[in-house]
Amino acid sequence: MPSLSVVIITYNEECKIKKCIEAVTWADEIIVVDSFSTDRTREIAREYTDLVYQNAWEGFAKQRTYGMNQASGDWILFLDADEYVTDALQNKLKELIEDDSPFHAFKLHRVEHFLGFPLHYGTLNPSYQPRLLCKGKGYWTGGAHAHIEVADELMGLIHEDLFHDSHNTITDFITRINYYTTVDAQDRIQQGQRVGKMRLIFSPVGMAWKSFIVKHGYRDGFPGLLFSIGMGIYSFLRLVKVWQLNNEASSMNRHID
Amino acid sequence: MSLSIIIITKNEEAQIKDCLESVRFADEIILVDSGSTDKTLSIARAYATRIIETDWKGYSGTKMIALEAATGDWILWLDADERVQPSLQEEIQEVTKTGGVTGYYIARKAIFLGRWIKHCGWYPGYVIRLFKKEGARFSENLVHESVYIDGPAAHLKSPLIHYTDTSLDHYFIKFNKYTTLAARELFQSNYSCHLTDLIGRPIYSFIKMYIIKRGFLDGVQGLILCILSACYVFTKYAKLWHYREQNKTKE
Repeated sequence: MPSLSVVIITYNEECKIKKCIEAVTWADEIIVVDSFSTDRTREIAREYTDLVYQNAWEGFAKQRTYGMNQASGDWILFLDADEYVTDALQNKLKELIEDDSPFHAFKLHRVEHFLGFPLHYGTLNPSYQPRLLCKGKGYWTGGAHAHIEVADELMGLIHEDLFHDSHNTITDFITRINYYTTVDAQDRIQQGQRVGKMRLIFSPVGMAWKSFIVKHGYRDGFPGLLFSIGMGIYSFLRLVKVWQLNNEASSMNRHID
Repeated sequence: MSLSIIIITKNEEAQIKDCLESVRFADEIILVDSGSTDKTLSIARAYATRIIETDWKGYSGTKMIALEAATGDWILWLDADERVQPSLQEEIQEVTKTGGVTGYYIARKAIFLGRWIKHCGWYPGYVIRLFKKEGARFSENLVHESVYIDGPAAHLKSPLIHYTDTSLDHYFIKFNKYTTLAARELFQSNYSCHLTDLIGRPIYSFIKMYIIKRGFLDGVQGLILCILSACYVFTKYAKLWHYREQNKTKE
């Protein structure tokens, strides 16, 4: 019978790793690749598996490849510590690896959990993430948005849910917005974006509108509203940072009297 | 009559030198630091009469430590991102010599992203910052602490300069911290969050600052500030909503 290995990559995930692992204890082996956590992540992981490795962080693709090289299963499921396999997904995966699948890799349907509520609509959805690979039939590549390299016709879709518990608190959400807008703003500067008053008002409103109305975020109720406005704040903050980078030095402290 | 400067800090290496430089005229400088890990203390040593290192005791608690350590008859409470200009210095030296009242309100000229925000309801924004030590104490409010004085107060003419934010990243770290504190305060007072709070209040806040208080006269900076303030109000109530939700599931 074909076997399944699970590769989980971690860094300081002591709060989430337990729930992640407990959802896949039915798999044939669990491999944890940790990039030198300073918390109890490895300790917790060892309660479930002996296959806990340490590898310096070199990006998602390299970290997952490292894990894959330790795996003995025919199929490999790649997870982040904030992702949880649902019962429906578990059944689907078991079924799939027993059948002789014509696909070499699969994208899984990922549902965001925002503040503890599932989001099925809005900007992020629907979201399919490459997470399952038949060993030896493909490889990981890419930077921040890593993907599995296989021919398009060999990439299948799984519609059962993988939960993604990315933002537990609004504080957490704002911290991420702050971080990603800084990175994003530098890209925009290189593209030569200019920012004026009109754009500062209409871009964020447009972004929130798109998530809440066009992409049906309202169907997620209150959390959907918060998330959509959060997307607006994201857009606004990115523009402000671009504006500030454009105006740095040139206009600072010219109008203080 | 003698003047003490009191100032509380944590990781203010970028601001503290200019701040302390602007109050060298005072008789003493009392600096209370709660765990700076940057160069704040080594910079401050060249200026401060006394440095006290302590755990964070909340805004009012930490300021009380500074207040109690001060030996002057008059106290000027300053934050690290504030500066005393020569005109204000002259006024302070003048009134502390004669001193008919117990405290003085001082206007604050806020500099936001390189521009003096004259409108938006920010200026003059009088606060009591200069006061007689005797009978003064700090209030317990979590976010916007203020001082209580025991007697009448008057206004000074010159403003303090207040450099609100050097970087937006830094602003948002504070934004995150203050909205959490404010939401907790509302949560503790058992305030319930409605859609009108979450949507209506931010819009109202924007209209009030940008249109009624004429923030549109403050350029792009004015617009940014007014939208950020609306985001602040939104985030505060969103956090309140989430605290209440979490509390519900616990119960």
